Amino acid sequence: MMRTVPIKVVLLGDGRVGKTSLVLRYVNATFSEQQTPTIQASYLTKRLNFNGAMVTLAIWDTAGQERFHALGPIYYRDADAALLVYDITDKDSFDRVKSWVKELRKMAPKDIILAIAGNKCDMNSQVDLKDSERYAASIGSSHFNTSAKSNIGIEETFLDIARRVLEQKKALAENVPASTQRKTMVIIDEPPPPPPPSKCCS
Amino acid sequence: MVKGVKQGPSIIEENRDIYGFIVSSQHLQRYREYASIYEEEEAERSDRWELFLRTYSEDRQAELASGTITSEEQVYKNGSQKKDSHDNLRGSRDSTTNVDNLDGRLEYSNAGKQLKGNHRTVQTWCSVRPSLRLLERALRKQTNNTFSSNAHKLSVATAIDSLNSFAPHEQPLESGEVKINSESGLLENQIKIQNLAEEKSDTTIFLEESERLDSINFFGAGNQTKDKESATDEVHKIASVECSHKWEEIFHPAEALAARDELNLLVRGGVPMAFRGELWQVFVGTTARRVEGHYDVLLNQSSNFEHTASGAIEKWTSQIEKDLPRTFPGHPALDKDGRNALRRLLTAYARHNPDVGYCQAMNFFAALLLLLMPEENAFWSDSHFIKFSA
Repeated sequence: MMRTVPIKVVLLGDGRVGKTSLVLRYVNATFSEQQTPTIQASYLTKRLNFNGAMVTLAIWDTAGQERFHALGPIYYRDADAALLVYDITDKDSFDRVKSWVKELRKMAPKDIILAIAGNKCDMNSQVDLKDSERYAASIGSSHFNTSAKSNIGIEETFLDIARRVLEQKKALAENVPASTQRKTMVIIDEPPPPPPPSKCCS
Repeated sequence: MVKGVKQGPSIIEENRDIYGFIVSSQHLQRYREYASIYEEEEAERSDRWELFLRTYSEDRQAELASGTITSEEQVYKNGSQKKDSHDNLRGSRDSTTNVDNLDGRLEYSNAGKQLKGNHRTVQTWCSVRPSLRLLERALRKQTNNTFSSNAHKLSVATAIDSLNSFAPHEQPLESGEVKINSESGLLENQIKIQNLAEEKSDTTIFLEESERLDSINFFGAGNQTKDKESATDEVHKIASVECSHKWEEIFHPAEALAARDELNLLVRGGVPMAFRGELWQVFVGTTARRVEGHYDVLLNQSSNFEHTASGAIEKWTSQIEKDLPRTFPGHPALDKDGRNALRRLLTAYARHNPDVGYCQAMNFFAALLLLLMPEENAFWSDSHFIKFSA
């Protein structure tokens, strides 16, 4: 029996980092140099077959301007996963990711899957990629370098999200009574966070 | 609430509608099919509007001849003359205050060409064409009637209070405000008075009222000849004139109802493109909202403000910059000049209303207005839309 598993993914990140472009590249395989700003949010779905399991990704693409920050909760409230996007040419946008992580830790579902995407990787980076990867690992998130323009890393990002959400759901299903222990499940699911990075980084 | 993203293939062909927007390929065929029909309808609409306006302009002339509304007209003319001389003194780039000729018409027929991507003339302010002015006043009077006289008195009283507490050339500047020059200080005051009146009640009429009062205040103070007493007297006079006018009195009483019905029909039938920008302004009351020179002051703040003000303005600036190239990308009117105008407009609004500042989507509103009207007209219309759609 084939059942479609719905997965709700929400995209968060600063304005003009390329959230909409990422989604449009992934879902419609298009890219526009002149993507108009997203005003409140937009919604797209993508169906995929993941190792025989039918998955529907419901992707919520939110507005990036700080002004719309307060709308965040209504989108990430029931989300299975959050994809935090920053622009590798803009250091501030990475700080915005960090603030989103803090907020999600407090407000979002405890078992929400996090993924971080450093977009525009076809351009010169202003952000220390090692640093951001280390940060991603420290919060139990995966990190991807993506480019909507050159179509790099986007497929992988969403597949990784789908895989981790499915694994989590499966693990949950096997421990039905232990639904209260959702939080523990995640920790088992993830590789243990590495020790805090030493000072030296080249 | 949620905007669906259309499956838009990347734009290759230049298929644009008459407003200069790309017609997406799935609609293109239908658009072409209906283009001729649309043209016919548009011509029909334009004819009807023109007929309507001609009819009621003639009425206005007759009325002027019979002398029923001369007093206000007189004041208006005086005001505009002073405006002109004032502008000359300042050497302002706003050279478009000539009110009663057919320039408006010409400029607006140019506006049509602008859409097709020709060179844009730099045009900061333009009054609506004379034939629309009667309608403009009638619409304002109509809103007038819907408010109780009590509230009316309140706003007048408020404005007069502020007038009395106002002393020329002693600008009580708020902390952090930069004193630019005495004139802008006066303008600041005007705006404050206007805001004061707005706080009392949030309706258009009070705005109009207080702005009218403000303009007297402004001219009185600027001339240094009128003292407060006479200014206040004039306030009363004008206020009473304002109150007494009704839609029925603007038009011939017998025709007022017909005029209103006809207008309703015309609006429902659609506004022809050539009239659109101006009619929007008429409905919004842009002329009444406008505080002469305020827009320039907002723009001129830039040099002084960017250094002194804390991150606030700077933050808006960077967000506006982010969105400029993303507003109607590829639209022929939004070339370099167009984007500069949009930048100025958005920045001016962010300074005009720092509580709101800049919010995404304003750029679309502003750009749309800029397609249809000169920059300062767009500014006042925009500020009205934002204020009253909230």
